[in-house]
Amino acid sequence: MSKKGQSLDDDVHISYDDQAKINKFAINNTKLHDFQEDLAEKKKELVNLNEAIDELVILDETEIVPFQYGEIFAHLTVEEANQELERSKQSLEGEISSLEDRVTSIKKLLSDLKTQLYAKFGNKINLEESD
Amino acid sequence: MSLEGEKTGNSLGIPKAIFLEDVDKFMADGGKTAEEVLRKLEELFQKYRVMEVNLLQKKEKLKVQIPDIKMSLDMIQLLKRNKENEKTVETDFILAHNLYARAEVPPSDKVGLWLGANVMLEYTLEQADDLLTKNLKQANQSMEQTDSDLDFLKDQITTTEVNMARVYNWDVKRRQTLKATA
Repeated sequence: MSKKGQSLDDDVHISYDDQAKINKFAINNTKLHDFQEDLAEKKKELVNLNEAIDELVILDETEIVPFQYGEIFAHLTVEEANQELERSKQSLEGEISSLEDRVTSIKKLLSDLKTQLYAKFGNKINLEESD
Repeated sequence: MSLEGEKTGNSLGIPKAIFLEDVDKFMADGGKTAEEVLRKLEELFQKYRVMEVNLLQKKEKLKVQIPDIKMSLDMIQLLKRNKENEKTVETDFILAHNLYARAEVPPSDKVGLWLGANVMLEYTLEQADDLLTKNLKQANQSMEQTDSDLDFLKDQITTTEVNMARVYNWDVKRRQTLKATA
């Protein structure tokens, strides 16, 4: 939080427009972190799903495997389990690609805002990550 | 002169932080010392922070709730398929932590939904599906609303932060000028 605003000096007049840009930067910066966290989680999930799918390949289609639904395991045939996994995989991949799109567009927005704000405030503003 | 604006633009009636267009003018018109104004701003800032914590908690709750509902919906789809194919499915269900028992689930068109408050109600699969789908939709809407409230709040927090910095700097400069002329 301390990274915004702190070093602003009134030698440079801050207009309402500038304030709006600073706000936009702050909001989207938080969003970027949220989305990146989500994305990492979902990618891990996808790796797990793919591993499960790979494991099922060694088994015969008619064999029975316990498949986890929340707190219970349902005994499904390998074929059914595969269908379930593929279904989950597809929806997960959809979510990942939409998250990736959002991350890309936020990154672009942030770098645009950065350019504008640095152009106006120079070293009087610090928009870099503090940690 | 107030630092809080109208309570509009969001669902929770969060007051808007006023942007200080001109610190000199604001300080002159208000007739308050920088300390007083800073204290007011700090107070407002803390209020926003409390609201933010509440909203973040709400969001975390929803983040748990949504996958839960999705999982129940998946389960209902399985039950529906089993009903259609008249198939009995074997399950291992949890009895206690790390202890599972086996149960056969015959084809059925009924399912019990846990409604909370120690109540479970039996629904047909179709009704349960409808109800859960509705709940999922509501949870997603609530998530969107929470996100937009958080955005709004963040706006006010940043504005207040910048206001504090500017009033503070204004005061430092004022003191310096006083010293220089003294």
